[in-house]
Order: sequence, then C-alpha cells, then structure tokens
Amino acid sequence: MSMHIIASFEYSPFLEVTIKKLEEKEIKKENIIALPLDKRAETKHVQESIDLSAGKSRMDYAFIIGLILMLLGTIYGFQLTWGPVIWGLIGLVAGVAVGMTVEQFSNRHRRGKRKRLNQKTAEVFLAVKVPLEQKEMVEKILLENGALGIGHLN
Amino acid sequence: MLLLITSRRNDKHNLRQRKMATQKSCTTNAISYKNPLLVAFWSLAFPGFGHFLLGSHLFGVVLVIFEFWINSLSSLNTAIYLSMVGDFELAKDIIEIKYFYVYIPLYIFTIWDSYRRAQEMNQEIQLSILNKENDLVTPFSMSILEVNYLRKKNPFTAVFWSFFLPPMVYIYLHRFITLVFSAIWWGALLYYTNITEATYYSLIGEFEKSRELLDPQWVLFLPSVYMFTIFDVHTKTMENNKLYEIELRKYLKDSYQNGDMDSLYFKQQR
Repeated sequence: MSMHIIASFEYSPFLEVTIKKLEEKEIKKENIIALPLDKRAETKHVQESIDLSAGKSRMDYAFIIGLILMLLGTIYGFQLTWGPVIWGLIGLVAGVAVGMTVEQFSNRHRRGKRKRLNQKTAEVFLAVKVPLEQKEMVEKILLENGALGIGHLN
Repeated sequence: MLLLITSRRNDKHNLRQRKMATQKSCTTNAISYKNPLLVAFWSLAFPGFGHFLLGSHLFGVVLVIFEFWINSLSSLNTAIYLSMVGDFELAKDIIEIKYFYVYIPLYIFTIWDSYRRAQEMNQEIQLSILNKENDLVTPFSMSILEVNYLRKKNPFTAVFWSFFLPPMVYIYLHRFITLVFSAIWWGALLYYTNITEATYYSLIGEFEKSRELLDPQWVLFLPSVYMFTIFDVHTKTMENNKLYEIELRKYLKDSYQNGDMDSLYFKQQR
C-alpha cells in the first residue's frame, strides 16, 4: 500500500538535496515527480521577455538619475562652499530617491502584482509516491529541507 | 564507423548551440535580455560600459582604456567642467584639438555599436530559448585553481557591499575577469583622484583642503564609474539568479518527470 506526498518548494539547492536524500532512502526515480511552475505573466510575449531579462529591475531609473545628479553635484560642488565630495554625495542620494519615485509612479499599475511576486512563492511542486511505512521519514526530510508546505493523499 | 558518424553529427549539432551562459572554474559569463536604450545610455555615460554590460568584456576594456587615455590627453573633462560653470573662453583654450577629433567619432561609434549589439543579442537569446535541445550552463566546475558553482546570490547584499568599494563585489559573484578589469581602472581612479583623502577632509569640515586635492579632469570620471559598477553588480546578480532557476528547472524537467500520477486518480477502480 502506498501513498502520495506533495510538497511545494522554491528554486534552491535544498530542493536538489531533498531529492537526492529521498533517492538515498531507496525511493525510485519514477516515484518522484518534480513540476516546475511557469511564472505568472500577462501575455506570452511579456512572459518571454521577463524570463530573459533576469527579472525586471526596479533600480534602472535610480541608477541613471543618481548618476546624472551626482555628476552635476560634483561639477557645481567646485564652486560651492561644501566642495565636490559632499555635493556629489548629495546628488547621488537625491538622484536615487528621485529615480525610485519615478519608478514607483511609472509602474503603478503593476506594483501590487509585483509585491506579491516578490514574496516567497511556490515555484516547484514535488510529488513523491511512498510506501505507507515510510511516510513519517519522507515528510521529515521534506520539512527539514525547506518545503513551504506539504499535503498527502492515501 | 556508425559510431564515428553519429558522434560527428553530435559535434555538428553542438556547434549550432546558442548558450546563454558559460561557466568556467574562475569566471562566469552570461547574456540576458536588455533594453538597447539602457545599454546605449551607459555607453554615453562612459564609452565601453555598454559593452561591459552585455558581457563583451574584451572590447569593453579596450574602449574604457581608450576613454581614460584620450579624455586625459584632450583635457575633455576639464573643458566640460569649465563649460558647465560658464567659463567658455578658458574651455576653448584648454581643449587639445589634436586628440579631441579622435575622441568624437569613437564616442559616437561606441554608442551605436553597443545599441546594435544589444538588439542583436536579444534576438540570439530568443533563439537560445526557442531551441529546446540547448545545453544550458554547467552548475559546477572546478580546475586546479578555482571552484565555481551556480547558486542564488542576494542582490541587496551585492549592492550594499558595492557602495563601499565597488569592484570587490565581483568576488562575491565569482567573476575573476571582470574583477581584474574593474580593478585596473578603480586602482587608477583611487590613485589619481585623491578621492579618499578629499572625502576625509570634507567630512571633518576642511572643504578648502579637500578642493585643492581634487582635479576636475579626474573627478569627473568618478560618478559614471561608481554608478556603473554598482549597476553592473546588480544586473549580474539578477542574471545569476535567473540562470540558476533556468538550469534547475531544465534538470528537474529532464530527470524527474518520467513517472506517472495515474494512481492518484484511479483509486476507486482499484
């Protein structure tokens, strides 16, 4: 008599370790199924570009405007009392702040969704078919190695 | 004989592969989708950085050295500084026309070339994704000198450290070649700008002393190089994490989808 245990994971080295540990306990490869999820996206085109762009950076504008204001701070700092170093740093902080604000506004409609995506989410489902007497042991291995949640079906 | 033919065919197949990343024991190089305008912007801020961002390190370093060299010879930064503060006559006097006219075509060319590369690379990435038979990156490689393995890195940790001394974060990212190139110009900049002493005097309030130490010709390089290195570190960290996910996903799909889950659904019938 066997049962199924299903667990959700993030992409992490722990997931690989879990699978190898299960195999060590003589659970056959055919009895382990890993199902990586495709991440949620609005359209296929966007899906592709997000897949490739290494995650949309929230920092692009911050870096660009930070650079421009830092440069201006450095240049005009030579004429001002506090000197180029302090004015350069002021420019940097102001630019990063402005850039972040711009980014927040330009992506306002996407913001809520993005917040949810940044939290810990299930990225892979792992289904293991095990004999009843091994249930405890397998559940212990899964939970010790970072499973976000587990469920079982007799 | 048959074996020979098949193995040769495999070789031919491998030659057609478009990899998104290569990982050797001492360094990693990867490409990812990038907005061509963003790449062009970094080329505009500092020639060579656009190429650097795209993983084209060798051409990037040539262009960066060119920028440092010709810019210094033509006193371009000093001229920019003088123009910005309104001293146009002195700016005209100080610029070296001999070198300035070498600078202009290469500057424009660099911006165009990085834009073109970014566009073409995006297409290559599309091909790489669409070709399902591609081998992706090897997650672990070792030589007698180094050990390199693919792991997720924390972008906030990387950016935090890079605010203090930017190039050292390439060690965290295990990119030896990028580290060496970056260390070359960071070493030159720290030496010629006197920025560390100037910062010290600024912080204790001796602004005059700090200003005497700084020369616009060198200090004007600093904002671009500083911001770029932090940006590059951030980008490469995100790239690394995406690569990790893609590699693990491919491994799981290839190795752990051979079983079936029928018994889940056919319980009643049994």
